[in-house]
Amino acid sequence: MLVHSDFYAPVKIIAGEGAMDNIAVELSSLDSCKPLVIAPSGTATIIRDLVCAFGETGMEIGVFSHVTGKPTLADVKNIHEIYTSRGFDGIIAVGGGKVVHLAKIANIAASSSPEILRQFLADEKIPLPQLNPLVILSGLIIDGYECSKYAIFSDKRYESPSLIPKMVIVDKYALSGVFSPEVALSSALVMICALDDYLTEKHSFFSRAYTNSLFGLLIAAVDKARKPGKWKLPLANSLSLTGFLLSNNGGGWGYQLAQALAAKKEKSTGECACALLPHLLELAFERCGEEMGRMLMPILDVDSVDEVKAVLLATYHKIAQEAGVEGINLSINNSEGEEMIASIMLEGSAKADCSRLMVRLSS
Amino acid sequence: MSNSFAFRGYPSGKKPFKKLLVAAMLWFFGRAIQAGARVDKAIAKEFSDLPEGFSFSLEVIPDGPGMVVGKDKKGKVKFLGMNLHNQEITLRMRIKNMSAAFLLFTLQEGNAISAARNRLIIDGDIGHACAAIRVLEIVEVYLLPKVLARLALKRYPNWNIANKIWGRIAIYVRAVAGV
Amino acid sequence: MNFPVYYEFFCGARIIAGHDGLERIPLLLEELGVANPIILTDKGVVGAGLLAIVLASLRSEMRDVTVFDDIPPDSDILVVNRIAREYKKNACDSIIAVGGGSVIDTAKGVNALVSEDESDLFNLKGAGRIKRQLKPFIAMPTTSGTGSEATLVAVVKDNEKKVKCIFTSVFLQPNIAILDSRMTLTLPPAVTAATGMDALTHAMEAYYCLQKNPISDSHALLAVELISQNLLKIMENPHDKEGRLNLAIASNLAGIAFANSMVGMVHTLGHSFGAVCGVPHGVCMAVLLPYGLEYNMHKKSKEIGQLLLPLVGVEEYQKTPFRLRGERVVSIIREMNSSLNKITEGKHPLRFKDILGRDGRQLIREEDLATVAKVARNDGSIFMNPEELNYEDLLMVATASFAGNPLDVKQIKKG
Ligand SMILES: [Fe+2]
Repeated sequence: MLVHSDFYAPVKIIAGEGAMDNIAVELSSLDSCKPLVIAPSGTATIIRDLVCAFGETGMEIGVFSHVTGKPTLADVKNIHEIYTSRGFDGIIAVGGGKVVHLAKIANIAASSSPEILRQFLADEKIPLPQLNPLVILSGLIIDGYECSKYAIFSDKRYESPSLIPKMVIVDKYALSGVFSPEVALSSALVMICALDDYLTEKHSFFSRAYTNSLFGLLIAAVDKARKPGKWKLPLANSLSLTGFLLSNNGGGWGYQLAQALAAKKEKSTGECACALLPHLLELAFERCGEEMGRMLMPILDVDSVDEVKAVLLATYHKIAQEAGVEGINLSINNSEGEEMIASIMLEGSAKADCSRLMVRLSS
Repeated sequence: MSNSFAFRGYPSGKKPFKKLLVAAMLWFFGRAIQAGARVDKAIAKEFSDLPEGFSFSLEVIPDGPGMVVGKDKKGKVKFLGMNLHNQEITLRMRIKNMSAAFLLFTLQEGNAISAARNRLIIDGDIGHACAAIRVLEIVEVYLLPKVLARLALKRYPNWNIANKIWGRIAIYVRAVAGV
Repeated sequence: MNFPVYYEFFCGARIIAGHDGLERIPLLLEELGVANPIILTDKGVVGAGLLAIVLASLRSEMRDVTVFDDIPPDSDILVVNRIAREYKKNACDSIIAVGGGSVIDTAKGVNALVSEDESDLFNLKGAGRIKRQLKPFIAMPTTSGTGSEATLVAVVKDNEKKVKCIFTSVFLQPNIAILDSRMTLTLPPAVTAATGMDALTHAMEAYYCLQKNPISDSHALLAVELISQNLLKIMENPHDKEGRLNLAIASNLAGIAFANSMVGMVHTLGHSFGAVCGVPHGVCMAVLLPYGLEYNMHKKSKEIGQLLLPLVGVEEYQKTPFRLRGERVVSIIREMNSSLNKITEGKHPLRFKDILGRDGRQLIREEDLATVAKVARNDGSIFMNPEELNYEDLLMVATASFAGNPLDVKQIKKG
């Protein structure tokens, strides 16, 4: 394990029974008393519960329902306009993925100025002023970037510590739906991020602690995927932790490879993650099976390294099955494989690992 | 159309039913503590160890309801009503929101457990808060049937049954009568 | 994994660890947009030559920064006020704290005071009164134990009024914690032992007390493993840089764990022995930890049993039958204490009876125990302990730990 490390994940997690009810107190501890909610369409019930959670505070809540598509500058302008003209002082983003990207970018304009956002979009290195709080009300379908320092806007990935949300709230009332194939694909992404921490050199004791928690939460969730009410909280929790890991390793090679494959094969990143997972698991068992076993035994409440491995494999199978992609074949040929490896610029042992994996994928 | 959107403003959603019940429970607890201090030696001892003029509140954020109990100059323990604004309060124990208060007072959550779940914000001396919570726990044992109080406590005390029943009757009568 | 009904978790500090962590300071200050830090530390740190190392890591034009090196071990509100005046007088824009718990807590208080532009720290007392980002604050722990670089709390005493003021806010946490092996390399053996056991206690109590959660759990397990692999090794070989750094990391991990799950009765009684008799915190932890485990065993045998794995590794863990694991953990802690006792030639005590004061006389008398138990009842950590503790229970544990006898299981009242 690397003793030289630099780890940063300053997101407060509020999770479980009554988490959403604490939102007013939590916002006021961040000096915000008039939040603007940014939500995707189809979340009316969640918004009703959210408004209800503000209870006796007398706070005024604004709701911006973003309807479709990728976030655009026009959306950002609309939000900025509403935010400043009505005196909001914080943003709550409902769910994951695009809404959160939009909220992160819009927050720069809204709590500083459109000019600063323009500068930032031109050069992400400029120091941003202190922004107003951004809180995420976690959903079940994610891309992993929610709790990270990244935001994707106009097909570009921007990075700044200021983009990290202040808080993520995980509450069952905000987690609607069943363990759908889409949810399963989110889970596959989460699993790949966790495996990356074991497979890449860019890890630390701090990332490892979150990784082990993430495995515990994910496995508990997937195991209960068919029991209504049992899997949502742990799953949404593990989804949040994914951002913690991504923030600090920029995405390990497993995650990057899944992304590269997705672009190449016109599949979703989650599907490609499912295709990679059995091979990555095998590799991880070979490389550091003992270590994984030792770390995860108490967390998974099992009594041997082999049981840990069995549980991990079973979790993968369940995810692939629920996603409807078990045995997915990406039919990659040798030259495509090399192209992939070159595109994610790997070095050393990771490169060798990745090459071996591509050989297996293409055979 | 990627920029189609809808904006609406909402007032926060109030919870009148929960508020009413919580207020009633707080009122009763306040009176019961006053009564308990006259009937139970352990409660009396807790208060006698607290400083002169001490008072504490149990209240719901942001603006009540809440109740205040304190010691007057002669050291007598008094329920000081539900007004949180016009009196000096030594120790404030604030429940983070109405739903959490509702859980607490419908005994869906015990004190220790509730504190563990970060439902309470303590404003004041932690030592005083420990004493106040011990008082609340003893009052719970008197007021509630064993099955319920068990939920609220880590360890149900091993009291003499007769004492407990007499104490319970005395506290109920005094709490209702306000003496 | 049992998902708790509700939990919160937060670690806002960026953690930088390495043998050359300090060399990053100039760049970090630049990133934070500041140029005139005040360095807060104590005489012990200066005496050990650590301040010189920190100053040497600064850019040459910064070497004459404001330094306040007079933070006493029982720092209080007057010290905080004095430093705040110094900060303002020298137009400082950030804080670097180099030291143990007292220095870091004082620095938190100073930061609140200078950032919120208050003249009296008392006005900020309580929970959540501080709602805004404070001045940039870098903490460098010089003991591997307290974990105060990871907590959201500042405890500042008012020695005149004899009260402890507690401040809580997510903004009190340092922006950056730097764990550099050089900062703990010269820690004397007895202090290494005591602070190491403090960290171990943080990790263990975080793992079996009531507010445990899935994220504090994994931090705690890693911390236990690192401490068990490194503490005795360092005691044998104090100049082991790798081991020192591992221990500093463990202490931080344990700090993160307990900052989010709180601690239990080992701290309840430990704080009280500290307040009543002046026993150093780490020493109290080392003596009391086995008792905390024993006392809660009937309620938390699974969790305590699981702690055996990071202590002994997979093979021995599997060989130990399930029902014996918890007891084995207790005996390993006692064995660790015995080894530390031997290596420090008795300076690391095994029971309270043996602790000597500065004057060479027994520090704690048997008649103090009643006061210890009484004071312990008013320590907030008592609520997070799995089993109830009333006055008699506390006295029973205090008495056993005074004499060095294991707890009599029959005397533990089970709730
Ligand atoms: Fe401690």
